[in-house]
Amino acid sequence: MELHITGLSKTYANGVRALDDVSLSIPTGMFGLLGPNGAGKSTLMRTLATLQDADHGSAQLTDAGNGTQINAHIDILRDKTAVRKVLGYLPQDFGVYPKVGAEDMLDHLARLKGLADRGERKAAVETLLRQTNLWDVRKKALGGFSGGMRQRFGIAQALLGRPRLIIVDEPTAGLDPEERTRFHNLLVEIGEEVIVLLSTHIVSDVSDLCPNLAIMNKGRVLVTGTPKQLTDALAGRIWQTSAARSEVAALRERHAVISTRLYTGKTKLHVIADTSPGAGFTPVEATLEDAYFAAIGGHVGAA
Amino acid sequence: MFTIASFEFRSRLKLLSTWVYFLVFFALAMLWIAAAGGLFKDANISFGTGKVAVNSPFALAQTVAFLGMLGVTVMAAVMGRAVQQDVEYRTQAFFFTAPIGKLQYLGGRFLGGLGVLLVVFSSIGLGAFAATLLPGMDADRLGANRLAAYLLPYATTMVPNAVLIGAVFFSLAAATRKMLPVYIGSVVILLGWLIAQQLMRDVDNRTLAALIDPFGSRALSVLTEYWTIAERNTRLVPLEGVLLWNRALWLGVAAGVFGLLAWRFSFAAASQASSGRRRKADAAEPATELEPAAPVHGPVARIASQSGIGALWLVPHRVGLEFRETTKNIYFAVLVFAGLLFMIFASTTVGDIFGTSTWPVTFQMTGLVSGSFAAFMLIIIAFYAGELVWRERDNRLDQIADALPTPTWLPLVSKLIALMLVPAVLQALLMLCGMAIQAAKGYTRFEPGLYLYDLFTIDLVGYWFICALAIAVHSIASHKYVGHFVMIVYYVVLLFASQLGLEHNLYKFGNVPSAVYSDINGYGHFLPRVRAFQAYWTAGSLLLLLLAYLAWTRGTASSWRERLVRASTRVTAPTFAIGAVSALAFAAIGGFIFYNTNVLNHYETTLDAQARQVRYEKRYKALAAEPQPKITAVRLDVDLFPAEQRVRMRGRYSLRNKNAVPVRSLLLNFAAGRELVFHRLELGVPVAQVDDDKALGVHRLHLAQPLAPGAETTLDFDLELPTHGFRNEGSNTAVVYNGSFVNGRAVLPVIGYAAGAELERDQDRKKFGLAPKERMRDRDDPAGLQVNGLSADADFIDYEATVSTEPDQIAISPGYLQREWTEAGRRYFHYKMDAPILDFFAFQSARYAVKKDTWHGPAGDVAIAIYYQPGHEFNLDSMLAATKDSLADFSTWFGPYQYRQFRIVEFPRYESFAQSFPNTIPFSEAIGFIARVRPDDPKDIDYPYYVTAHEAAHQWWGHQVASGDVQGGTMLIESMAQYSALMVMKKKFGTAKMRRFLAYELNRYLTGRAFEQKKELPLSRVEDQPYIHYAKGSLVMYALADYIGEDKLDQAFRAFRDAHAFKGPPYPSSSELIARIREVTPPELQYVIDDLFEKIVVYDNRAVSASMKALADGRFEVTMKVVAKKRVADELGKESDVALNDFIDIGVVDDKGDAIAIERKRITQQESTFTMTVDKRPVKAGIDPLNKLIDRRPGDNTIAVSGG
Repeated sequence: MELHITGLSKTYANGVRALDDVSLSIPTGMFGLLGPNGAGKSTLMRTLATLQDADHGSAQLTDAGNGTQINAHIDILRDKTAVRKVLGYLPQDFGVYPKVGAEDMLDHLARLKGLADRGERKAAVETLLRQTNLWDVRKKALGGFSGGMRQRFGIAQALLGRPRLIIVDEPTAGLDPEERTRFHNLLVEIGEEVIVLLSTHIVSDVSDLCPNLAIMNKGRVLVTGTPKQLTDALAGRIWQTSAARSEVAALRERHAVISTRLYTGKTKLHVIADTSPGAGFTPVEATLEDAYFAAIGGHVGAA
Repeated sequence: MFTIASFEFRSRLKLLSTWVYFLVFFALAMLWIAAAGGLFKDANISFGTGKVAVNSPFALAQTVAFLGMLGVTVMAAVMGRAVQQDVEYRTQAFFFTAPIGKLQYLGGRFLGGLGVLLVVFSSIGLGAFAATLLPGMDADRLGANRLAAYLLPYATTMVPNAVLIGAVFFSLAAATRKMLPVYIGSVVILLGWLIAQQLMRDVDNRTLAALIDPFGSRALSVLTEYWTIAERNTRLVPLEGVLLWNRALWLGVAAGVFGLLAWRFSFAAASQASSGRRRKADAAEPATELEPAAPVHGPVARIASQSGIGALWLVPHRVGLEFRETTKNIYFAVLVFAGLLFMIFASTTVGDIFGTSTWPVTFQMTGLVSGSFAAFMLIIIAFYAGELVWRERDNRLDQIADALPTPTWLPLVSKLIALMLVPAVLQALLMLCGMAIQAAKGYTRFEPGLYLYDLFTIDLVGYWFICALAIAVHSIASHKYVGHFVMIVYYVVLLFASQLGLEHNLYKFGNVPSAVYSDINGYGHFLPRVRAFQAYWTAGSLLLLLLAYLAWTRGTASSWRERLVRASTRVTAPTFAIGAVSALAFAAIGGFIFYNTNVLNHYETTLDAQARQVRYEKRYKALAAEPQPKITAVRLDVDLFPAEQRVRMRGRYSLRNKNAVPVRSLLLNFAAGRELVFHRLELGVPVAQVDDDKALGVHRLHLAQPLAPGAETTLDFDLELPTHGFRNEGSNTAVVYNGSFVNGRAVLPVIGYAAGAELERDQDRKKFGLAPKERMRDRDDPAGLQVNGLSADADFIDYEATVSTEPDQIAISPGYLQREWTEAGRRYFHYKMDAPILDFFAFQSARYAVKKDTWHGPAGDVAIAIYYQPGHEFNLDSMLAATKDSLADFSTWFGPYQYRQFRIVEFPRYESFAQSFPNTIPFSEAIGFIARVRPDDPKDIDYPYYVTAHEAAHQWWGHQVASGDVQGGTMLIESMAQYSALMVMKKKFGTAKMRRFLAYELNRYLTGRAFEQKKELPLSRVEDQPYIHYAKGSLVMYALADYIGEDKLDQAFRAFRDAHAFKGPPYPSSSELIARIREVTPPELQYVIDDLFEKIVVYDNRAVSASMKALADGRFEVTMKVVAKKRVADELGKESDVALNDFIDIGVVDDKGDAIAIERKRITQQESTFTMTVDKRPVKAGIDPLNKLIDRRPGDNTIAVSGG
């Protein structure tokens, strides 16, 4: 299983360039799409989920050969029906019919996904509800669900029918830490055999879960690789200092500051530099977060 | 609060939609006024009558009221969304947490919305005004523009409606944070209007009806309904009477609703109820860990084929879900409840004539469902279509749903079917409700089959086309409100298409020409046309749905460019095939319909028909003075072919030149025009030349030798009127499968120029450059008195006819049956009259049941027979009684009945009248046979009895005494028949019932004169105006009998009849009858004759106060103060006060309105005080308490007696 995206571009009617020549290769397993709000992540995901058309470019889903039920090769932008058959999609923002119960709704969606056999469908629905820990509230109207429950329901529906390509758009937004952990566990389990494309602006989501990632901003892919590759590229180049808030502006002018963070009332700064920027700076090990901010700030990767 | 209001106001003014609404209403108002003002030749709109200026206060009030009603959608969009948008856009937290009070928030939002509405609806007045400035408007149809006339309707109607309806919508939306209740609210409000409309059928309900219509439009009608043309043109519609009460009532309701909202509204609840966006809420969090052992992603499921028709198995399931989502809520229940409530209300006045309803026969019940209820259904369909199409997007489920491996057509088809189920379910419920009502009214002849047939195979199919249209519109429209608005525009266009000159049904989407059900003829010949149009629109709907499929929004693409690209990818082989097949079917069926309507039949728009009338006038008017022979005898062989809707008439006219000059040519008119087939047309004398004007149905025969005065000849003819296929509008309802009723004139030639065929309305004539025309000659015009008013080409004739029909039908025509036989599978009836009759006869044929009776008259027995539809036995006895009473009384009062036979023959309800032919009275099933007269009910009027008596009277007034073709002619016929019927009824039912009957006649007269097309005339100069010769005739003759005395009058009438029975020409005039009445009238009452017959007199009498004193002897002394006003009106209803010197009743009545004591007093001044001593405890007292005089406000003549 591999997803190849080549030269994908999209400009909205209002002139916003949401995707600008995006090319990516996404192997089986979890793949993180990291970027700030408005980076074009959702546009990319919606395009892959057949909800939107790109202006240019292509996206191909190919199977290494061990697949049983999907076509060996799917042109995502053209053969939407084929994509949808292997797709599990959890949009960033979704609602439900407030008066329908979780089980009924899932059963309904299961039918629409093509689970025609009653027994199989029932089994699938039950398994997923248990897996997402919604079994006890399966009769409850979805309108009464909390954010976390709703999100789990979203995952349950995305997993219906054994999808080979799972797209989850900002799934942890608004979840509390405990919920988030549960959610991650669920994703990891799924991500072993299929492609899971996860978009987020939270670096730890990706670092916790994804063997591969890409960082996007303003419609473009800035860097891509494994977390290790990304941090390795920065090895020895990240320096940290701590300063009073009033000095931050001056430091910014003099150094390539990639991130600032408040820590016990003082501002902690990370600076990227090939050699030590000077006194007061200590070298630190590069983290994925550094890689992210460095990329967003235009200090590394394809400019 | 005003900050919020002005923010709301300004932000809405920036919205495109606000200005779209503005422009649409501007355009509608302008178009409407321009059309009424004669800008478009094809258009045919007027405010009741062309005499009312299009920018008169009345017309503007109507325009604003009507268009304002259409504006309900806009009110829903603006007011409903004023609060709801905060929820929808999730901005409520900003407002609800801001330091503003809820009253400020609500009040501000409300006022802001109201301001926007006023801006939007100001377009109506502006549009109307703009229309009056357009070049090309007919100057005659425009009055002076008055600012007050434009502004006042806003004060009385528009603003209060915006406040009321706005408050209701606003509150519903604010309380529920949803738009659906708002739509339901609009339906319920509309229902108030519909119920009011139904209630209006009973005069007693007028005030109630005026009050319960939330729009105030009924109140406006009730207030202005008796306004004469002059008043409509000049008077500003005041805020008074029922209108004031209505406005006050509903503004009170608005205040109440808003107050309730302000009291119950809470910001906290509002935030919580923010439909589905709760991140943390009530649901308890299961704290357990995930089950680690669970298999990762479920069992391997076999995925069924989902593409193409493989997804068909999903349709029932999805339909079920969509339908449940639509109906399983309180709102749908409210709708159903409202619908049933309407049925129950409407059924109380079902088929009301004279406030008396009919039996709830099935076709009346289905008529209720498909009549006024249809508007209700259309709205339901439109907004549920919006809900269904937008459901996923409204619930933000669209991204999940759209990414599912299901074909794009699946949601479209499922939603369509779910929507189609909505009217189906409602129809079924209404059907059950209808049967329950029938049972409750003691009518147990249930016809579920007929219900199913009518409500489902005809009405429901029609609704389904609307479903398809609504789904398509909402699929294409980029916003729900745009979709709703497009649907409204569609309804309005459909409603007024014909009046705007778009008459062919082929281009009125979803419009299926109606099928009239008759108990006698079933759906008869109407069905093929219905089915053809249903097939046509089915194909049309498929095309629309295909369009909907192409435009269907899947995914998040929203720009038109993106949607176009998506649409293009959906044009696949199957779509193309379906499209091609639908288009082909659409074209083929359309072609078939066109072949029927325009090739087999002659298609003519209203304008075409008018142009034809104009051609006739221009071409032949010069021949109006040309001497023509008269018919002296008619001998006919009439062959009716009911199954083929065909009739053939062979026969001979005997003609005589009754002129003093020779006849050189004959002008023959054939009403059937180009559809008539001429097998033979042969004059008894040589004809030099025949001009055959087929298009106008005119044959001109130029005689080789002039026909000398007194000379006779014959005209032999063999004519056939076939029916080919179906027409666009109308149909042959004369010859039908069962229940034919063919007037001889429908086929036979009419001799001489027919002035009646000319275009009559002056506004139409002007359109074609013709001068205005007088309707009739002066009442004493000698030439006019030489011509029979009923048939200009004959006086009294000999008549004989053999009528044949299908073997299981009976055929009837005037005359006595000579012989009946069957020959070659057809049944023949030979009828012959033994004395001359007017040239007025018809042929009927049906499978009748016959009820027979005999009246033993002084000059021998008269055989009475009623030929009726089995099942219609309800009122046969009443008709028989009326016949006998009439024959007995009229023979005593006026002179002997001239026939040995009296027949009433029922015919289908395609027409609603009864008509008196010599010894034979065709009688529509709609006006008596199914009446439900409860003899004990003081309100019910036995109108089958009345109609029978009226038609019986025509055997004297009409068939014995004929009138000339002059003004006042119909007074001798119709007003005299009314008099005769009233006197028989009074004997039978008493004066209380007569008062009720006359209340309807007063209403009919006062309403009728408001719609006069040319000019109102005094009764003695009536120009065939029904509201005068029937309604005013009743009032005048009843009052006359009261003033002069019945005996004296009958003396005059008998003398009049004796002088003129079976005579003419010359025919008697109304002046002569009036002269004879004057002979029996004492000198002091001669003024009454002037007022009743020679003038248009309207009183405005009222009681000011009344009090009583109990006397020692147990009697009561009543003192009352009354005001008398007498006005004389001109032709257009301009009234002026005249001096009083009149005898008017002063009296005291009981609680039923029956007289306790009445005294006739001479009144010479406006205000007077009277004292009367009465035996019984008085309830009300006043002037003209029994409403004998024509009075615009009969209700205020009496006043409750106080004191005692």
